[in-house]
Amino acid sequence: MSLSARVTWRSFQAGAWRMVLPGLASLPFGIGFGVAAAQKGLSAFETTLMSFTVMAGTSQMVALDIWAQPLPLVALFVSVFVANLRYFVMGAALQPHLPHLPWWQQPLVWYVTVDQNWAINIAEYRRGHGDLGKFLGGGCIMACIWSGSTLLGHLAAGGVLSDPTAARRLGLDFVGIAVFVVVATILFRGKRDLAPWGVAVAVALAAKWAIGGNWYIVIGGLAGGLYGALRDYKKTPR
Amino acid sequence: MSASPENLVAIFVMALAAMAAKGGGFVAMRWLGRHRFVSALLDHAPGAVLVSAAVVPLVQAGGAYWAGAVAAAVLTRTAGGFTPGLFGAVGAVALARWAGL
Repeated sequence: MSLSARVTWRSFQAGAWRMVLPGLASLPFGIGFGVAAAQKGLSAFETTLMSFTVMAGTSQMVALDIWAQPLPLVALFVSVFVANLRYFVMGAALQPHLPHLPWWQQPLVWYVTVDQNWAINIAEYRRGHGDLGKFLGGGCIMACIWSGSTLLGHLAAGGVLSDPTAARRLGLDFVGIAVFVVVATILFRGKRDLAPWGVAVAVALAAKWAIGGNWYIVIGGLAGGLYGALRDYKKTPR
Repeated sequence: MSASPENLVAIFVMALAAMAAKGGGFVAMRWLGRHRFVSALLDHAPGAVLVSAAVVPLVQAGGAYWAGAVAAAVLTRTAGGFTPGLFGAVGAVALARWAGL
């Protein structure tokens, strides 16, 4: 089995340790979600279960916005699906590196496809030394930290733990963005990427201004990807 | 360990939706990936997604975040790799805020 699809305990641990700091960056957000969930009447168990099974903070916040009795199940499904559309693109980018993954491992890979974990691992897969064990380990630790932080927030429900100023003083609120910048730097291939990334930046900023929310990530990503694809497609002979 | 049946069903529906989004692209690529244009798109998509995700918070937050982004890029290139870039970025933001940015 190639390195890219092999899972060992050692690589799982290495992946988990690597994602501790990026995972901790979600602590303030997780605590905030826990507080919000408590205010909506969810129990500590329900809050933690939601965080562990959905593992997507933004869409969980969106779901809380529409959480009412009777619960609008269709609206919940659509809003969570749409809020997570950037993972559709991320999963598509990952699949060519794991083409022969057994069917029972695929849901595990989908589950751990979250922003920072995907970013770090796609960079390694593209350089030819991706490791499924690290990918799964990283996702596992992020799931534990995310779920744990929402539970903390629920239990504290507005107490001292929900104060984000400590994280700001240490710069921890920047960790998530730092991961994106670091991995983008690793992936940068020089002149070839300048124009597509320029398009992505411009479209993302325009989308944020025009639409708001987090749509700018998938819209900017698709715009930059399409520009690069069209340019390369026209250049190469068929 | 309290949980209402209605809330549990809603949580299950949400988990299903999240997995559908996360797995949908992965599954779709098994058929779409054979096309040259799709391969080209996905060659550029990861970098485009990353810069899109980073640029809006950078522009919105300004100051300290830009210091962190520059530190992240420089350290990643010069020191080589993920860890120096990440820690340097966080340190740069903390320093910038301490300095009043």
